[in-house]
Amino acid sequence: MKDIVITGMGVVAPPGTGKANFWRHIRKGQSFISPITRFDASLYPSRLAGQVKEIEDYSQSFSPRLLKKIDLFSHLALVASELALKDGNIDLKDFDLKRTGIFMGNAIGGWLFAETELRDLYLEGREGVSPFMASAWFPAAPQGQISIFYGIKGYSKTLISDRAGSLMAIAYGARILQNKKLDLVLAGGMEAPVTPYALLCCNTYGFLSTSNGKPHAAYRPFDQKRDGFVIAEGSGIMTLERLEDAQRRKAPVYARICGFQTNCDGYDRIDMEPEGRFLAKAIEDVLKEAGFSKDSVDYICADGVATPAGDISETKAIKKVFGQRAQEIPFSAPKSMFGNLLGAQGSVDVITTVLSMMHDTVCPTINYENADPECDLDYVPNKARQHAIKRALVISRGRGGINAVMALEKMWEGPKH
Amino acid sequence: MAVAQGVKEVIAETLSMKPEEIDVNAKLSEAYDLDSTEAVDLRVALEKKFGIKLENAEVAKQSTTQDIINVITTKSAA
Repeated sequence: MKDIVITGMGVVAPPGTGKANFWRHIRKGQSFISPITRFDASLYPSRLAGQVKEIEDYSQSFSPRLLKKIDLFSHLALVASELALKDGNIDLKDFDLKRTGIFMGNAIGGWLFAETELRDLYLEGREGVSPFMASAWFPAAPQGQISIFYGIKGYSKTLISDRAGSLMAIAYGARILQNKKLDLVLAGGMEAPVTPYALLCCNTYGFLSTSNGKPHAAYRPFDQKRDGFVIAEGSGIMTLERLEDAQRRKAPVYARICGFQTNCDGYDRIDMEPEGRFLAKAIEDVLKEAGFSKDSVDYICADGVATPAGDISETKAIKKVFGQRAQEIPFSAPKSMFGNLLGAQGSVDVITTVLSMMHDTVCPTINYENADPECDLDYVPNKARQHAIKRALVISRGRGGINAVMALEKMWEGPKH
Repeated sequence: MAVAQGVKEVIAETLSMKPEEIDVNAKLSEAYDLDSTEAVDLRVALEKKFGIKLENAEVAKQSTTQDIINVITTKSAA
């Protein structure tokens, strides 16, 4: 992949909305995970989440008439899109909307809307179901809402690939840009899993922490006492352009997408392959595609699922690829602060990594207190660290053995902001 | 009068407007951009409010508020 760059970033996440707000909070190394308050979750084994609290403050562009027709996950995506376009100094009137595309990742769909309608279906019959249900719940609904709101008409797709969906969406958007089929891409993901049914599904998934008594300490990747991850809601969306186009319009150029590879473990419907062999292969392949030497990687943003097998296999994959140098590369899971946004996590990890490049600072893995002999890399425990990053990798993994890795290179030469 | 006010209130709720802002003689699609899904939503809300059955054609995009008031007044009297 050559000369596809990130020129605008919009994030809506538990630590904050907007990139400056988000960064200000995640660099502090504190937790934004709390007990679920949207509904009574007291009987669920895992009843914690990273929850977005200030979405209404950023919704002035969207009418109440629109918002009542859509699910929260589309609302989150609209806000993140608006923030990304503003951040990239993009006025869509200057772009051919038939050559503008949307690439989104999602895992769950719009259950906050769907659940109440299904309840009404069984209680009141078909006339009890909102006609907006048909266009509100399905995973591609946010793509549709973004396209309608902005009048975007170009080649677009929504990718479903469990927790790797948005990383894949960014990569496919970048490839379509490289093929010159589009001039501008909105890429990323969104997730709103804090609903009774979605939380139930996530619980039966078997990967969630049940440390309900200690919300801030519940998500502890790579720590020996880890017991799974915590879900979160939010959205991360960015604008992608060809470098020459971005430079021509004097856009902020944050980072270059240098490569993306994905493969499958072919091992189990839930667990990862324990040796991390296929994740290692995806990393090797992406280094080759990006033209990165193993010595040149300055940071790796971990999947950090916080299950025994997940963290060990991820650690093994890094050691298999980088050998002795694996110990020297900061390898952190900043999502430990706010939860895992499932299908949207990859895009939030990309934004976190780009902000880390811009600020010469690696965000930490929090709650790392008890060393696991099988997880012995530099996880940047508990506190952010000054560290210059030119080249980085972002890892996303999903159920069924999905491995996805993206290579990024810093382009930003402006002030740290 | 009660029917007229009730219809205006339901239409206003559907369109996120105030009842006094509704022009009863304006076509809902032309004046307020009512789409086909919103028309279904409006029909169901009116059925619940007035306890009667309405056909899709009786609450359509091209209807005016007055058209709907007339239909519901007739059906309610029957």
